[in-house]
Amino acid sequence: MAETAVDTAGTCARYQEDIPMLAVGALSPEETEALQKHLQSCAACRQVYENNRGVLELVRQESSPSVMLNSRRVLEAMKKRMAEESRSVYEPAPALTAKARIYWLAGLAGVAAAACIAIALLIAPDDGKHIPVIPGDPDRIAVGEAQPAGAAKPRPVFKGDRIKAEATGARVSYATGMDCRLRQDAELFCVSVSAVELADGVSAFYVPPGIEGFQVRGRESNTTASAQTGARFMLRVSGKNGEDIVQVAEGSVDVRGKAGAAVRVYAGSGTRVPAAGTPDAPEPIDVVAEFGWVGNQSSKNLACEFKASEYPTPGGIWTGTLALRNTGERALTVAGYHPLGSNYQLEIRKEGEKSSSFTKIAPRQLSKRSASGNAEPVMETSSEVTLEPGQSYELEVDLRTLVKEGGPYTVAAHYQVFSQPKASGAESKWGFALRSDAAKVFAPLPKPEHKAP
Amino acid sequence: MFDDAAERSLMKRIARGDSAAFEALFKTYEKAVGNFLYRMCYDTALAEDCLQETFMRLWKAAPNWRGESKVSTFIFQIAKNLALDAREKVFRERARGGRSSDGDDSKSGKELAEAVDPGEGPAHKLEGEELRQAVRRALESLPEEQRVVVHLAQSEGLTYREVSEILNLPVGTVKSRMAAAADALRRKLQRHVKD
Ligand SMILES: [Zn+2]
Repeated sequence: MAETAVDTAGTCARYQEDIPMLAVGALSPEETEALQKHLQSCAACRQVYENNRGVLELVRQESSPSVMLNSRRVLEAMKKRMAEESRSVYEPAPALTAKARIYWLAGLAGVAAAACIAIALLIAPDDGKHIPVIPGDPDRIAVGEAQPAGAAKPRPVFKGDRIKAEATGARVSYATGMDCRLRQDAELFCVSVSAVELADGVSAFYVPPGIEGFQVRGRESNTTASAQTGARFMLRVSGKNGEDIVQVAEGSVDVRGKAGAAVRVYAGSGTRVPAAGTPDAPEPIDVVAEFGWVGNQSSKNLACEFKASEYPTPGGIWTGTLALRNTGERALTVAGYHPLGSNYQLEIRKEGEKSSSFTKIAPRQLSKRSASGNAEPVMETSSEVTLEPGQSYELEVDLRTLVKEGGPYTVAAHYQVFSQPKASGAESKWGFALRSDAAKVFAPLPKPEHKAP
Repeated sequence: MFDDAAERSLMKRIARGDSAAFEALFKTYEKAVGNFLYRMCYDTALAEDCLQETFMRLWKAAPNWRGESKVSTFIFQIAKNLALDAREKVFRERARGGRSSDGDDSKSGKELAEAVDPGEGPAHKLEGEELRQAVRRALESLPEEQRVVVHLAQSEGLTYREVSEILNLPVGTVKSRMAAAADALRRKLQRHVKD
């Protein structure tokens, strides 16, 4: 670009940067006006503009179509296609008005301790058909967008793209609502809008309700995980000769190895897939620990929250509030055997210590605030609670029973429900895990009768 | 300039399957997107195919469109991706010795780039088809990343800020690619510019 003769404040350099954009009409009206004003008073910039204008005008003229595109023909062809292609697929979902019911049904028989209640979660028949909409041919349409941790802006991801998570991990959000997290150093390929291949590392997936047929394959291995709608699961691959692992936090996933039939893995369990063979029988896993890096969300429109009371008087009561909140737009009915107490555990870490302890909460440690404001013991009985949208079910726990010494702590609440395989051999079928945000709290001295957990 | 607020409400209607809204949005963009597509492939039939595909995809994607960008950005993004793909396909077909698509312009894509480039020389004025071919050769000789910027920036109604969003590039990169492209085009074409 030509040097300017008069450029006292370096403003000419800035204007000259914009000159090609002015010449092709790509400046905003304000920028156009400012630059044109400058050109009137600056011969050097005017010269640059003249040099660019001539060539870029020539380019514009001579690269235009000699014959206009026949847009009428294009429109007619599209109308025909729109009529041919199944309209139903593109119909908007009907209004969601009916009340969704979630039942937590206890396996009452044989329940000894509250800590190991067998629970099944059933979702009542849905209200109306929610029809998922997936772009028909995802070829070269961004299947989603990737956001490396720390990056300000996501970038579109196309079919065939390779995504390598650096030290901080990465996230791929699909237009369909599919969510995919890459743990550090993981590497995956977006094969299509409904399939990915994991080349290396660990990746977690969430398949929202309505999305069918999502598949994750090991790029180097023979493992294939086909997710049922609503599944939240994780695949860990370890190369050509290693053993892959599939773990499921929610819903279910069909896992296939090199040989044999698929094994269905349900929420709360995982399977190992040897390099050459069939997947092992699924075994229970610690969902909160395994999926902690993803954040332990749930698709059930329920959130777990934890709040601690401010540090009161020395030795005073130190109370934590555990809440299960309906974050959806429909009322949820929660029913079952003592539904809301014994599924909690607390993750407690003393400041300065590296690891957290996980403490199950027994119903006797909990109380429920009555309408009149009194703390009442929680009864271990079958009950049903309906949560309106935004409403939460709260229980209080005396945190002094959970710590050995006073001081600052970080506490998070976990809520998990997984049906355990019953004595009859019935399969584990439902479940999910929630984790609250961690809260910093200051513990007064523990309760005198405290026994170490 | 496109009226984003009006187009957003069209998108909402399209998401509900409103074909009149679809037609209205198509009419708004057919010229700008059509010209852009034509410049990207220099083949009328291919450009029409891409135009059709662009709007079919918009139709299908509308229910999932989250409205995070302007409607124009969304449309040009689809069009740009399709055009780049179409070019790639044409190149591959040529590499295999296949026929190019039946366009009105026999020379498209790589062929133009590979044609003899007269380079810099004494001023000499070309006319008509010769000039047209010289301009296209100059454009085709640009690196793809610059050519896309040139064709988007000169698209009616798009500012360089939008170009940067369509390409997901920083504004500074878009400007420097445009400047580099303008320099290269000037070197190749200055002598054909009418005084
Ligand atoms: Zn100046």
